[in-house]
Amino acid sequence: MRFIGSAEPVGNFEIAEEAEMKQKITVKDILFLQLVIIIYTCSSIAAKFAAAESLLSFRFCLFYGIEIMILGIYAVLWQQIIKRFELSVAYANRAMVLVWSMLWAVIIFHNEMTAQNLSGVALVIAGTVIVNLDTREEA
Amino acid sequence: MNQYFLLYLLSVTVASVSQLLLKKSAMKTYDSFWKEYLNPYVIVGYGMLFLSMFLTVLAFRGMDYKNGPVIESLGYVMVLFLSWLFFGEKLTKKKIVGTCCILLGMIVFYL
Repeated sequence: MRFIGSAEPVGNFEIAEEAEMKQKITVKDILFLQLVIIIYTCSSIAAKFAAAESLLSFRFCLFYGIEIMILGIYAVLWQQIIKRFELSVAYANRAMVLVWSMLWAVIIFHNEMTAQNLSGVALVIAGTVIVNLDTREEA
Repeated sequence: MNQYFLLYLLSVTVASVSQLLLKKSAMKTYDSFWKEYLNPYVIVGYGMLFLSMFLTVLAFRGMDYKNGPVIESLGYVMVLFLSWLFFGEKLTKKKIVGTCCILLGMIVFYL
């Protein structure tokens, strides 16, 4: 455990000065990562609700405020995620935004999905699972 | 290749680099919860994300919406490469195959 002040200059990228600690990534960690991504997609649900209201009306401000709040919560949680995960793995998981957003589009906004949409979603899920399998092997 | 496409690509690059700054901060140990967030890396990182959002809006002036997410998924390739370059995260076969699969999925979905 060492403490580092915040006075260090920005943009000083010593290569792997602090080598990534290989921590065990559990299924629970991956579920937490997906939860954070689901929270992120909720910001766009709020945005869609805000878009239906007239500009700067009470309900518009309410939904817009909720959107900003959700993004704030996401930002705080994301920092905790990348403490635990390799950046390359955590970021690839963001592709699941497509999948969760589609789910909301169908459930909440009753949008139609084409067979082509579903094939795309299936490929994104498969790709994310393959990237995540990488963390299982190291563990 | 038009200039709006390049602008979007710049936006994705800025967003990818901002993730590096966030990760750089996350790799350090801090003596308080607040310092995990109130440090130059995180503040500049989120500043860059805002810049990236602004660039995205500019790019959309001359681009179809459906092309956005496809170009955005190039960010997964950039982050994969940059985190290998700066943090020594391994470029494993699974990461590369998985990322290609994600890219293909985005293309199938939107094009």
